[in-house]
Amino acid sequence: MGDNRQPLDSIDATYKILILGDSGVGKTCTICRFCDQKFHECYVTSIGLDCKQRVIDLDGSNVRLRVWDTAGQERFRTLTQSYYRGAMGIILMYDITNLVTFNHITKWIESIENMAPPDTCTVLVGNKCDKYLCRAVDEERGKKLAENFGLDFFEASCKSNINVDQVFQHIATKIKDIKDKRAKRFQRTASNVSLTHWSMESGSHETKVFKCSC
Amino acid sequence: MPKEDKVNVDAEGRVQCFDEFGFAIFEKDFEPENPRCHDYSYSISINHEHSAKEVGAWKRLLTNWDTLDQRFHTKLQRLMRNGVPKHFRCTLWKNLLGSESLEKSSHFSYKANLVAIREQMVDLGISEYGAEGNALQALSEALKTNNELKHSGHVDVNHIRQILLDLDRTYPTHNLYMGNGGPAREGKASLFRVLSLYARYNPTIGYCQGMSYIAGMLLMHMEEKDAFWCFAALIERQKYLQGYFDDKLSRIQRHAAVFEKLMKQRFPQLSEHIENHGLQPLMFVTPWFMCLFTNLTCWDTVLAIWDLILVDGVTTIFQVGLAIMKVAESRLLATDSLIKLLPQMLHLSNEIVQYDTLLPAIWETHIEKWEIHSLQAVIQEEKQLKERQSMKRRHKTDQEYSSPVVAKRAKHNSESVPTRNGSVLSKLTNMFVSTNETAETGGSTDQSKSLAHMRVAYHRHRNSPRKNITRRRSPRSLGAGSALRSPGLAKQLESNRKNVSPCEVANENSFQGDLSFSFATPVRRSPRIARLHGLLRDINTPSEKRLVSSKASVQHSFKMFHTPTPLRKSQRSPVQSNSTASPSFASPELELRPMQKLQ
Repeated sequence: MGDNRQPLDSIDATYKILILGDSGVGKTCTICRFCDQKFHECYVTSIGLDCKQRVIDLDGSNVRLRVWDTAGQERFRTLTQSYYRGAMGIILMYDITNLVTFNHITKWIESIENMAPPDTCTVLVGNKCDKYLCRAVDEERGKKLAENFGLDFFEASCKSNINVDQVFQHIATKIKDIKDKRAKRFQRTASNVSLTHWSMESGSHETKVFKCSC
Repeated sequence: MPKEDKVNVDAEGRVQCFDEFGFAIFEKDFEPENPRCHDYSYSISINHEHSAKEVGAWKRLLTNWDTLDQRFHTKLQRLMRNGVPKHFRCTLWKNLLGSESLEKSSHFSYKANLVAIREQMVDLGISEYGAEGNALQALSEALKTNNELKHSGHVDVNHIRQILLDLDRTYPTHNLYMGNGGPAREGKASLFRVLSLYARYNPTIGYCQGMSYIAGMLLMHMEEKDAFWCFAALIERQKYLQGYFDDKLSRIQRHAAVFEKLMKQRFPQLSEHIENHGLQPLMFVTPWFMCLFTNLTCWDTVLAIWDLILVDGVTTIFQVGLAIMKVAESRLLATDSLIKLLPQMLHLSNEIVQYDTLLPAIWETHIEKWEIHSLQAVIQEEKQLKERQSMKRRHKTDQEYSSPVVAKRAKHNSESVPTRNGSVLSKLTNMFVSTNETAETGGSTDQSKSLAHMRVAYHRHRNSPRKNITRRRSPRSLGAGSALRSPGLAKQLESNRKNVSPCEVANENSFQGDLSFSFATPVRRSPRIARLHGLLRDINTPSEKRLVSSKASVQHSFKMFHTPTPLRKSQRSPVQSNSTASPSFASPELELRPMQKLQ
């Protein structure tokens, strides 16, 4: 599984990515395409969840993307929701040949907002864009929806391998940006804290009061 | 990054032949997504011929099914060790599931409802054969435009959509469901009919992913109508999968928790290893349990597992799960990352699931029904306790911040304040210890404070509905919920005083020891303590009547202790010679059989 070409010790970071979306939109297929570079016509229903990984190159550093595949049926959401925790990126997927899966996207976004960490980076993907003849959801609609919710939007196809790698590359870049930003903010606050700490140390009585209220 | 572009589109065209169970064997350079193992280590038709005697025994068993007595179970199990002959499996399963009695007692008519479903299909603009893309599209149109189809009696369109989606994804390499050719078309249609009829039969469950594997398996062995009733029995009966596919998947979650506990008991090292890598049993147990192990690669093993499950019900599911853990233990311990562990559990390798390896492991694994019940009770209790504790903590912190007295006390250290998360019992004993300490050091104010605490704790304990320590010397006040406290058993216990479990005695002794220690100290001379002693006496005086707390965890360990399991091999042989019946506890109440001699 995954791409084991790189030695494990050279990995700089691991990102947890979740693929969500209705049943039958091609989640398992996307993961197989991305992680194993394979495409199968017949898949089995995913029950519960599965996990695969691949190491990608991101601005010169090796990043391991650990992709979690989830069961799509609504009933399984109670099981899969507990795995939203700690997710850094979420790929929200619908099937462009099936309007129902697109209409359910708002529900999925709602559950992401409820369960996932607040600074998760989410991407909306319309899958199966090779089947343009049976298209039921226009690209514009997808874009508009993504815009409304402040998500990035892609149309992809696993069968013809369109945009699959790009989606993952994009999400990885975004996660990295978020992490860098957070690290910077943390550094800033950390330096602030050390400063205040130092200044508090000098005044003995007030330090205590400060600590207690902490 | 170099990329090998493999597009396996034409799976159907690459089939070489089908094996004896109907699974496709592909050409060598073709790799399907979930390959099946075709090297059957045990298969009834090739390697093993049933002797005429065995076949005769099977025949007799199956024809006289209704008149069989209790002993048939052992006979059946003995016969099943050699495998179930292929042509008897259908009858055996039907008999075990009791599908015919279900059919007779039910008002649900298969035929009439099939007609109704077909009518609905016509309304939706699809047919049972229309599993292709356009059918789904027609459905989504139907979903978009009219909701009046949801009126009474109709199957929820969402369920139909899901069933149609899953038809192509159920046993995609099996003869009966592969591709779009003649037999597969018919096979998928009958699978659709069974599943949609079930959704009509029980609209509250409808359709849940995983069911298609079960129905598909049944259809491989019997006629459509029989398969439907067997399916209904399997999903609805408490003995089997009742509650596995309901709206919140509650039972599967509970069972995963039970499995976790069982694993902790039987494979402590492995469960620690798995836990350290962040793998939760729920992750791999869900597909195992919900598809009844049909995702294992060796089909002969799967069939044997199904035979066992249909005989013994849900317990066997745990048994198989534990057997897999047992076989895979060394491999799993050698694997050291989540990313490798989880796929290994989800796609168990052929070597693990081969008949010759797994089945003996299953036979060796023993789990009793009461164990599962009692573990469930323990889990439930832990959950409640956690909730109660968090509520208490919230309440307490609220109080602490509101009342200045407590805040003042918190400033002195925690010595006089009992630990919050301990049981009442430990609070009490702690209290005595701390009282002694303070008494010896001469802290009188602290002592009175802790006494007040003790009084409060005692009253709280008295008023609490969950009585950890039950009063002795008053048999009438003993709770009726526990069969252990029945007079007959008490007598037994009195006569078998020596056979009382050491853990029990040790528990009690330690508690009494604590108390006597505290009362022997100067504190006892205090009149207030003496008064308290009087109060405590009736709950703590030793008596001949042994008592076990009604707490589920205590009961569980008690039962564990008194039950010969493979864990306690030392107990096994004498007990087996003493009694033939296995203990049957009904949880959460305790029903104790006469205690065994443990030596």
